[in-house]
Amino acid sequence: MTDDNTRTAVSVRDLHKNFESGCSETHLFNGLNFDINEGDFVAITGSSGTGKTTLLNLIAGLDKPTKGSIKVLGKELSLLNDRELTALRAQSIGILFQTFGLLTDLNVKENMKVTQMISGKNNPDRERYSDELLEFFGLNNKADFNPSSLSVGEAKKAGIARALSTGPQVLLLDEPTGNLDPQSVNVLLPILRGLRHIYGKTIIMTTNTPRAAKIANREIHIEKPKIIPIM
Amino acid sequence: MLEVKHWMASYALLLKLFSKPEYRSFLSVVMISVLTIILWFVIANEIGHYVRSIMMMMIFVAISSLALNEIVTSFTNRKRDIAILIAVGIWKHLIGGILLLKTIVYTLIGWTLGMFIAYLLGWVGGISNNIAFQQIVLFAAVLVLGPTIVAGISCMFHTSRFNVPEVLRQ
Repeated sequence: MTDDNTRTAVSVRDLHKNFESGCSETHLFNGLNFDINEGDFVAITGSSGTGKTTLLNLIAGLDKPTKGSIKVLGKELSLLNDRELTALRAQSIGILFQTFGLLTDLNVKENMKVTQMISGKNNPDRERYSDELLEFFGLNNKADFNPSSLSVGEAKKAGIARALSTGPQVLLLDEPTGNLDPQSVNVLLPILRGLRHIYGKTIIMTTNTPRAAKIANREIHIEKPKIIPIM
Repeated sequence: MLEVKHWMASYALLLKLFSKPEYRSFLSVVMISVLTIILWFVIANEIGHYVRSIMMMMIFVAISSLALNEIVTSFTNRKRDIAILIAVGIWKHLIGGILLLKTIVYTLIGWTLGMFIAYLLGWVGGISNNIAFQQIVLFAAVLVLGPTIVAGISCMFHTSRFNVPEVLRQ
């Protein structure tokens, strides 16, 4: 925890998220508190169904907590309207989805271009940056490929490259090593480690893989949710 | 100048993504054309006032339903892409606007085609083409503006209720 707000990238206080499903209510997080400093690489761990993806969605402002507060880069998310949240995501947050989140009607390079356009950072310099990213991820010969023709590992790398293409301050990676064969994990882990050192981003990664969690400099473990029957 | 070129190229990508022609859209354009032709002859020919009003109303409802179907199906078929774009930071009403624009363009194409074919049919077949300019303006207002308003309301409803985490979970 830090007192200096300018150094805190993400701050979560007394977080609760409840879901109603059928005749029971699931209570996630149960008052979770943590701070993530700028430049930190944090692994969020916990078994399936603990709400790791939900936590990333909440930090990205895609979902709203039932109770509690989330501050991203000093901005209290509950005080932002829909347009401000969208602008925050476009300017400062890069997201890798569990299912990569690539648009299948556009090729890999166009996927990056569209994201840069959204953030207002589409210019010749950014185009050069996209080329550099594709080279960093070893995808320069796949730039014109449709995402559906990529392997799972390549699609994950393309997803991370897309997330980085706008130069975000916070990078949210949802299970970057999930559904990958051991060989692809061996390729991806050094890349993830390199992301922090080369690009100096704040990285928040959800993972179930202990090996992946080890490359982070901090781990936040999420406890199992409480399931309460509804009378 | 280079900046403008890049800006246009980026929006062209969004248009490329959402304006991909689909068989359903082609059918929708054909149906709007057919309905416009029918409406042309309903207006041009001497039919009783009440019958004409009822027929015009029915055709208006049919064309509005086609526009509504077009926008709702666009949202349903493209909900994964829409969710991704919102999540990476595109304003949801911009996406709604693009889908609405697509619906308006299809309605306009159908209307123009229908008008052209109706005029040709009237001219070749010797059927009355006795339509004044004011009637064509009314035609346009009813068959383009009406469905646009209906589709626009539906579009606003869908964009404001769009649940990104839910769609990405599926």
